[in-house]
Amino acid sequence: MPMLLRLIVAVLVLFAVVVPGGPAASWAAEKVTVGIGGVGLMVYLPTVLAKSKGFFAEEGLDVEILDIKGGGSQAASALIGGSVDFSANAIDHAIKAKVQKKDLVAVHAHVRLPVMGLVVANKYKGEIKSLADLKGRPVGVTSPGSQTHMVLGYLLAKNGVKPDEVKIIGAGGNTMPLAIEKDSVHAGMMVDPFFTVFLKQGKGYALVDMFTAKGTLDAMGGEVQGTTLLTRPDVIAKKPATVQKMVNALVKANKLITSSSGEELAKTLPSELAGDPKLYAESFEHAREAFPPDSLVSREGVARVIETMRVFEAVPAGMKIEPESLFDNRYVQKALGR
Amino acid sequence: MATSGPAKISWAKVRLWRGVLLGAFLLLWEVATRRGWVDPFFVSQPTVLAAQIFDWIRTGFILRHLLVTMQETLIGFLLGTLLGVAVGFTFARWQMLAHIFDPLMVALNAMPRVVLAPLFILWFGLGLLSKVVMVISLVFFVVFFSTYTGIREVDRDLVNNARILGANPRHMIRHVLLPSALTWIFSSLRTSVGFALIGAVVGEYLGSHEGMGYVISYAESMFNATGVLAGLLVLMAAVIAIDIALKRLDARFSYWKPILK
Repeated sequence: MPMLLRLIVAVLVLFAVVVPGGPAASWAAEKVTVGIGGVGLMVYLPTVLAKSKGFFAEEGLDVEILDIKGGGSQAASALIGGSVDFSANAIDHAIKAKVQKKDLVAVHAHVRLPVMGLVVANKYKGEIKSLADLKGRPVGVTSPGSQTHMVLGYLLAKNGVKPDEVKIIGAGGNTMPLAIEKDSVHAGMMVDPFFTVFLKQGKGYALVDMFTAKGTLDAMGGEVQGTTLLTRPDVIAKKPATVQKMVNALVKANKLITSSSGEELAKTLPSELAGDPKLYAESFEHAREAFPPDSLVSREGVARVIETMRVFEAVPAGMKIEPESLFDNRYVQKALGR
Repeated sequence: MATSGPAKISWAKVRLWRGVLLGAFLLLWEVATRRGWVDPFFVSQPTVLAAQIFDWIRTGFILRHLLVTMQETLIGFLLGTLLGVAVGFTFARWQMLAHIFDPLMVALNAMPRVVLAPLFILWFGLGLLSKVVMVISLVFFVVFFSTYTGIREVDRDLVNNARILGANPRHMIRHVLLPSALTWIFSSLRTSVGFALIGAVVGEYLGSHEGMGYVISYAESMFNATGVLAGLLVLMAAVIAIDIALKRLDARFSYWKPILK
């Protein structure tokens, strides 16, 4: 017994010495986990860059990025379920969660455009000249219910095609090029790097290009909020300082991105993420306008995303969602020093 | 009264208990989600689920998708079964073949086909074919191994007696081998129906524009637990229906079945 007691006392003393104390707290960085559905995708660059440039570490955060197989939906599920405290995610997921009575809040805008495009196989060049020509054809989206699905539905509806007049197929993000080549789908919604590579290989042409501000304006009729950093209200309530630190690092990352060239960025990133640096640089230059220097979430953009989701009744017809309830720009504004 | 076996089971009592347990489970589920002990976001709610399924049936939405899945399941199931019986039978009759292909069969069967699904979709496209192939790949092995065993296990005495009575090879197959293997084949069919449906749904889940797998995958990406669970319940009902049908068929075809007592 006394032996055991002594052991317990020893352990307690050890803890008392090691755990608290001024200096100890400052060098023990706070651990934070961020879920991402595919770290290689261009839209997640701000988080990935902030990590590789050490911006999170400068804020005293030890950020672990969990690359979650299965895409953005799974990353958002992890956030809702509490496995991660943040996820870099399309604002769509906050809206879908809201429909199911769960609150998620966007605290930083990674990009301000959809950063996707509709690509058509070359063999249909003579037949498909506009969105209306897609009627009756199989068209690929990355997965059912994803952002590409919603945006495609909105584009079709805007061009007088009822969404059920098109066969919409979940063909996978990275398998989309193959699905188009094998003629499983005649056209498909593509994200980068696949979009840039496919066009560069001369296998298809872009019917809609929402990597640029003008392309997005032409296709969608206004701003569309893209990927953001999402978190839960309880994280904001319990750890507001952590949220602020995350946002500080990301604002810094976006400033660096908007003032860098594609080549510089390709060099900064770990080689397994940048892939072929030349291609990455090219793909970045194409999507450059998507990155907002101010990192602010756009109210108009969020409102438009809610509208896109009404096409398939992902947001039920009678349901009203206030865009303001989905984002909080205070952290970005503080980081910008306004 | 003094029978030697176990006491006679009262089926009325069994049914009563089943009903009570199911009712208690549903009630607990409903109360737990209403009281906020469990978040309905994750597990939905029995009443909401029932309303969802009713709504699906009323609008005809679910019938369209269920028919697609059933079509894939049944085509794959029939082809897989035919193939399994044919190959199993051939191997049982020509032992040489069985020995040559044994490692291959074991290796192929050991492969997790569900993980292969994305490849099937690349090879066979996003339409019906990839799902049918997926189903066949799952059904074939169950039926093959059962048929093979069934034929090999035919009563030696029966075979010898039939031969002594002058049965030619055709008679042997028609009156001795197939009937006795049928029991095995039918029991494997009831297992493989479940597999068949899994194959079709996984295929749809990974790439399609209709079917129950699509419905579930869509609901999942909408964080709609009700949609996911309602889809699963519909599938469950479909499997039970097929199982009952197979049971009836089994009773009709296996008239020969030896009396096991």
